[in-house]
Amino acid sequence: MCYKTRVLAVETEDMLSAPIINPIVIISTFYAFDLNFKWPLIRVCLGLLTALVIGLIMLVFQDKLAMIPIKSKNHEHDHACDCHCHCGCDKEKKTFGQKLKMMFLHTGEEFFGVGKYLIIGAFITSMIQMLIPKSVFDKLSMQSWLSILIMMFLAFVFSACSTSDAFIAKSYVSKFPKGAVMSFLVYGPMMDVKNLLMLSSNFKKGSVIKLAVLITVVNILIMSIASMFLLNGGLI
Amino acid sequence: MNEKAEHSFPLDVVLKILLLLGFSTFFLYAVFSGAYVKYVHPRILPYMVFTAAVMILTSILMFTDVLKSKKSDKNSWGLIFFVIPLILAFSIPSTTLSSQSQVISNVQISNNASTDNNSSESKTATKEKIIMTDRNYYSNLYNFFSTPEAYVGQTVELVGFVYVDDSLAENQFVIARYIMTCCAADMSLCGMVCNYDQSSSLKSDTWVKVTGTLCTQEFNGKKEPCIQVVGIEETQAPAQEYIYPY
Repeated sequence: MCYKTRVLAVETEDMLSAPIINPIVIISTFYAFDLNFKWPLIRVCLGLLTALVIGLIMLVFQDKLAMIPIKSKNHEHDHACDCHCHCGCDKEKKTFGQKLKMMFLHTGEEFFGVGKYLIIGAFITSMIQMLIPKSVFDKLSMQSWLSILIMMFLAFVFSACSTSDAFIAKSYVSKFPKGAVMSFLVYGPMMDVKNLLMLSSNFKKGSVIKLAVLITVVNILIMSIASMFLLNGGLI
Repeated sequence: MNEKAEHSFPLDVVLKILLLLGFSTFFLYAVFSGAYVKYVHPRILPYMVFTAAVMILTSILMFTDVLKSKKSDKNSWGLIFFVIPLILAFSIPSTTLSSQSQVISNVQISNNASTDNNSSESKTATKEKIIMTDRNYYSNLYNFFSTPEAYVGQTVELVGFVYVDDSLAENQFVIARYIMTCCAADMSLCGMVCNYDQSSSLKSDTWVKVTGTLCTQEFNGKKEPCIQVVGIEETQAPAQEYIYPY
């Protein structure tokens, strides 16, 4: 892969914040929350802050938190385009047609490589959605710290995409403190079942677990602080 | 590469080609039969066609490629994960959700009920009857829930299915529709509580047309709109059973 020149911490930060700060997500959050601009605004701010903190921690503990890629069988390849690198950085000149063909073949390989995890993730998520009635969560305590954990757990298991999760979050506003709902919106796009499985398709288990724990812990801390001082205090 | 592998049948590539064609067939079938709206929001249509086209193209390129390829020693077992959903997709008909299946069970009876103060300019109840159609169902519901008082006495007419749960009183039922914002995974049930003396005679999931006047009542400590049923009749399920807001 050609990522060698890029810093892992920056890459991670990018990966974590991208689903939150993209315009479609901002607009859908805006609509889901009754055209209240504060929700998307705070979502973006907290998302960026969380991603930044995680990125900085990864930068400081570079060695301990390195993401070790799995040496994939796919990469010692045999498929058509005898290239050594997936992103066309090898030097051989290829015609446009050949490049286009390569692109399609790689897309196909990626589809089968990553799709597997996507399908398993979707399966697990739908089992959870079918088997655990949501009313179970409704009856749980409204204590702030606990509710944050519950909403984060929900975000993790539902694995909704960031463009539609705001609509799901909206239905919890009447049952959970706003800080907890916000933690659903911030944590969900960063980490969920689907995401975890897809990461583990490319990286070694140990490093994926470390990253997941880091993301979760930082989210809990930031969302608890934010809820205490801002969100539940009437900012939104 | 060794001699043996050179002549082995490229099973994995052939399977991949078949899978790609299978998925694209399913997508195109869903699109042309109209069943796709049971899986995704109608706005996803172009993406489905695009995906099907790319899959077909990819499988053709893979096919031209397989003739040239020399070896195939890959394990094909991972592809089982693609076979299963494909079989399920073709074998399980795309039924619509019933309230029994309670997938996303965050029953949004208390749908929006926002405590936000900023929201919409409160319209006062008009003399005219509000007829809730597929198109304006969500926006009307949204208005009723954000300013319930403003609509007290308003006559409404709507079609939905009967939903009952334990939190309701003997003389109540909920008239509901499923709302899909993006795909089947985010489906939620939205509706209003109806006050109707013979509620117990109604069967869950039957489609009814209700006419009535709006009222308000406390629900989980919040004021929410409800319907005082004046007329009720059984009807056919609407052609489009889900509501697609936005």
